[in-house]
Amino acid sequence: MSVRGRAAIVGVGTTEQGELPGRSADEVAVEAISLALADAGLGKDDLDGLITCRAGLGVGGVDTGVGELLGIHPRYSATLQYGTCNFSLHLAVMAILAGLADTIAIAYGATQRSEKINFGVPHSVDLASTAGFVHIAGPAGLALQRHKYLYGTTDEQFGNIAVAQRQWAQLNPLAIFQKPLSMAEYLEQPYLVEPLRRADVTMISDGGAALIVTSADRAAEFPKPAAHVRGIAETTALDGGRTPENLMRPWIANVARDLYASSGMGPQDVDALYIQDPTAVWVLQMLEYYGFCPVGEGGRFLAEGHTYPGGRLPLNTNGGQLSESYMWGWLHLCEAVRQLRGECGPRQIPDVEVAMYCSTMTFAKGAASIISTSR
Amino acid sequence: MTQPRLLPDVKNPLAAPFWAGLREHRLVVQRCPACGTKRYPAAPLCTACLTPGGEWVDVAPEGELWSYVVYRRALSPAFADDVPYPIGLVEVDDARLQILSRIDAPPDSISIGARMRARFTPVTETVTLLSWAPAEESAAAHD
Ligand SMILES: [Zn+2]
Repeated sequence: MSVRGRAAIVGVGTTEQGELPGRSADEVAVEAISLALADAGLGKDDLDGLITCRAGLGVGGVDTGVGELLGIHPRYSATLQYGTCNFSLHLAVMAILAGLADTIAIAYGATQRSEKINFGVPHSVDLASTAGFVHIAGPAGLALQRHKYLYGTTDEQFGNIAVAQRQWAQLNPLAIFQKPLSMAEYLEQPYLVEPLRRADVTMISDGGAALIVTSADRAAEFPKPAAHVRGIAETTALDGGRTPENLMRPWIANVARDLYASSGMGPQDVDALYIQDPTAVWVLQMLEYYGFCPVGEGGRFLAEGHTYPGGRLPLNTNGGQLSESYMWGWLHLCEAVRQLRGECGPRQIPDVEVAMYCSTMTFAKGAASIISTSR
Repeated sequence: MTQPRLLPDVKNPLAAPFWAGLREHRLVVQRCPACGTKRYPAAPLCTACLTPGGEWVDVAPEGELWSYVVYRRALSPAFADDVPYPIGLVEVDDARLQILSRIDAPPDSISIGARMRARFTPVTETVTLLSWAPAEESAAAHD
């Protein structure tokens, strides 16, 4: 079954990113929803659905709390325990197809920077944690080291992810990291968790993002051009992967297969690509599994410069979590919609019709969506 | 290796036999009484066939280094005195179990695919930790 032609994104809202001291995650989520509603020409009472997302490792993000602060009582509401926005968009599409709601706000707010959340705290007191295996840079670094060993991927090839995203970020007023980052400067950075450098790992920041999703039949009623949902797909690896190969997350290829089958599209149709990037390793893996280059060729592909401004595969044109802001992937989809609308000023991709967004919930789940200017 | 400030919970009933094994310089893991699947870390049931429980059996504490990282900066204050420290994932020969721990070797000497053997280091009266070392080197250390 395909969802093509059934749902569309008609509103986008993003708050200031960075440090928002003294504000709660729910408050920031409500601000993002207000901005998305204004963008869609709607009032809050026009919403009949609300899908929120846990506020990272911070406090808040539950639909009952956000909905109360927003002062609405929609027909349908839900909370997802994990972010990236893809899963939230998919749930909204399903709710629309099921007739549970027709005008849904999906939203995320987080104040993890102001809450001083430490992502290096061990999750448990098992052998690996007590040895110092903490932070997402640990498993991501293992995967990259293995990739280098198997395929000869070099630091410089891999560094093109962070360096290209910084170039994009310099064209994005919302981005927090605007300082130029040359390849030489990247290579001079000391390792954080070798083989990863600071520039390869997400920042921690406060902010909010929200989108308004509605049925495609109504999409023309809204002031801004709609971004139509052309395909969605997900998979899980909930069994945790009992072999080391799970660190390479080969199951992501199943999302690609299902997404391309359901949308009737392929990587050659994608004008703008977005890949959620808690570390740059995720970008390397997903470029390969989604078929933009063969598995193992990611380093060489990146070194050819395709993902930079002016390249043939614009990638994370917002700067991503490495340079724009850490919104658990939510800003990637916001940027994709704005690119399709032609709102992106100096970083606008010419003639963009199809955008794709790929994300994962660490080693447990994967999801992707294709959105387009046409239904 | 200096004594880590963060110590494992060796009294948790689920994993206590694992830690008791390390105190005896043995690597023990659970084996499903129904289907024989070995598992690490400890779990209340076999995730292959859902049979509860498991008997604790010895596995040879050696295998191949699948990959490694080197923490060059302490991402948690608990490890500030330890940096730089390498951590490796070893695929234990027996049942392809994967065990992540510290590598007792200079970072520059580590290579993927190397044979690794467990080293058991008592750090308190109740806690002995397992780390990995290149097989030839650790054999020499025990001679
Ligand atoms: Zn079993």
